[in-house]
Amino acid sequence: MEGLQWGNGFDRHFFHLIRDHSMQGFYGSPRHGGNRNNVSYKMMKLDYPVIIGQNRYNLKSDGK
Amino acid sequence: MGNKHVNAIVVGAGAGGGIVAKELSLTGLSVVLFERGGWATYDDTDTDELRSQRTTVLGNGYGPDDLHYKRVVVNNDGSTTIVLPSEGSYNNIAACVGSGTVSYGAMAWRFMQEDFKLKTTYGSIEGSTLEDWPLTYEDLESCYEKAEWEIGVAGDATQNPFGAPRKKPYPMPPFSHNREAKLMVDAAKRLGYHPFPIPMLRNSIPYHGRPACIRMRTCCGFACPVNAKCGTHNTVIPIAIGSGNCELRINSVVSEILVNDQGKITGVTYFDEKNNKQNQTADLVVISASATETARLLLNSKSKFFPKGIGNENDWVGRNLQGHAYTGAYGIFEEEVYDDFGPGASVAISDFNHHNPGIMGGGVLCNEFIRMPYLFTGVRPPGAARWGKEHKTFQRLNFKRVAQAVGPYQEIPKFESRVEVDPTVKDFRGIPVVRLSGSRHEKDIEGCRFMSEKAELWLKEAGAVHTWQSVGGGKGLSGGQHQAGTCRMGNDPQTSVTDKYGRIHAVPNLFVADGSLNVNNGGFNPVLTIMALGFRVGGYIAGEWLKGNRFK
Repeated sequence: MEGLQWGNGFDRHFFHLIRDHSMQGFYGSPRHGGNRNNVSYKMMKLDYPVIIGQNRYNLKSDGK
Repeated sequence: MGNKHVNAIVVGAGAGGGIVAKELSLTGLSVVLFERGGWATYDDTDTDELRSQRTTVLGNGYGPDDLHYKRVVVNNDGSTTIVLPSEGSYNNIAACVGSGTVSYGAMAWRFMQEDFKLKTTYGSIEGSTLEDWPLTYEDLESCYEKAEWEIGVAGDATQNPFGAPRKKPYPMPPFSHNREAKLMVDAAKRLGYHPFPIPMLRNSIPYHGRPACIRMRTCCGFACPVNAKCGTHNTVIPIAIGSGNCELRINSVVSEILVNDQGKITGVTYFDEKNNKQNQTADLVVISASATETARLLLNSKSKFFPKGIGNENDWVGRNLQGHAYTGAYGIFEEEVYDDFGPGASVAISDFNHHNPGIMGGGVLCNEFIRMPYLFTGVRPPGAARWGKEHKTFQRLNFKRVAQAVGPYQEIPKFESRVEVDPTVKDFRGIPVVRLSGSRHEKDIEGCRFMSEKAELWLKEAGAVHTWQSVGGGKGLSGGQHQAGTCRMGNDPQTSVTDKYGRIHAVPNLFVADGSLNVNNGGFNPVLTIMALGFRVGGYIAGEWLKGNRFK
């Protein structure tokens, strides 16, 4: 593969692979072992787990 | 123990094939419908973004899988790369009953009148095989109507002054807009554009015994948990099977079309679900396997009567491969525009679809389906950090504040963009694989720039404080889920593969019914046109059959 050289101690392809896998773990479903307790979704203020179709409603009794 | 002879074989249970199977089986023909995948359900993938059909880092949620399939891509420098179905350059189409209609975004566009006569409208373009269709919009209008009513479309055509004329309204009312779409509707009106609700193959009210959409954030790229999305898997295919005349044979891969010693098509060879090779004979064969796989099957069917593959006497099978150059813009808003009211895309403008100065065609522009968190990691303005703390901060601050206006630019067809079969590489079953080569027409990028400018203007008017364009139409090969064009319809057998009813020229009993037939691909998602062509080809065969024609 072109550019797969470690001469200067840094490989672009390898770095991108690690970067992609890190983001897949952090932003992907917790079923894969990352994103524990939906931590990234909480960070993005995204309601999880998905109650199918109904997350846009506020289900708390106090309405807040 | 051989298979019982049937009247018709349909290869591929997707948008085109499912409809053909229903048309033929209800007419009384005995049909075997082959599908390389199985039945897919919501539970197979759930809301797992990483194995959906839209973000495929862990494989295609709805197939095909990386173990049994591969392709060869010819790079611009002439070198070749073997690619797997979950890689973008594979140009994948889902492998399951219903194919892409299970997990699609479900936009239900009719092409415009101009789309059927691009050469008449725009003249010849250098380096392009631009041509008129052998049929007009009016010839296909009743088939569009059947697709809209039998599969099910929600929309309001009266709000789109640029839509082609039609006899009946959509069977279901349009979808309401979410917060983002409302902003964009108002902005489009202020700009003098003509916003309208995107027609959707999705139930806005209960229809055909299935419930209304529950507005999930996951829809495009996923199956529907309540069966509100309308595909061939939950409409025409169950009807075909219910007729008692259609056998659906899943996990079965057709490898070759059978030709007898008089040069007649007699059926197909296929690998059953245990990967045993079998034959199925029939009076006629319809191929609906997608623009890439239909071409592969024809090219893999070599015999002394068809030394270059069936229908390929003039080297046109596999030519003119095209998809869409997706082009548009992003905008960041000060306020949150995300209200978790899915699936997202609901407003469109068709103001820039034809008759734009200096460019061929154009396309529809829409707001976009909700981008799930991992997909959003790639949404960044030019120069923004692609990793690290700054990237994460952008994710936190802007996930709910970014909107996109985007659309499919109608590409200029090129003879050099093509599907072949690779001379050496074979798949798991030993079938020679698809080999893809070519690139987009150099003028595509001009049309994309034009559309992206309009998209950016639209977002700015809607209140975006920071905008940037994402311009499509680059040098690469085009195909993807919108792949089309490889078995072009035409009146002249020298410059097309099938006649205007999808029949392979000079072969009485072999038809094509999928996007391969498209002479060009419209400035729209093509699925409703593929469905309409299914009704046209299936309806033609059924009508002839009733008249006593046995296609001998």
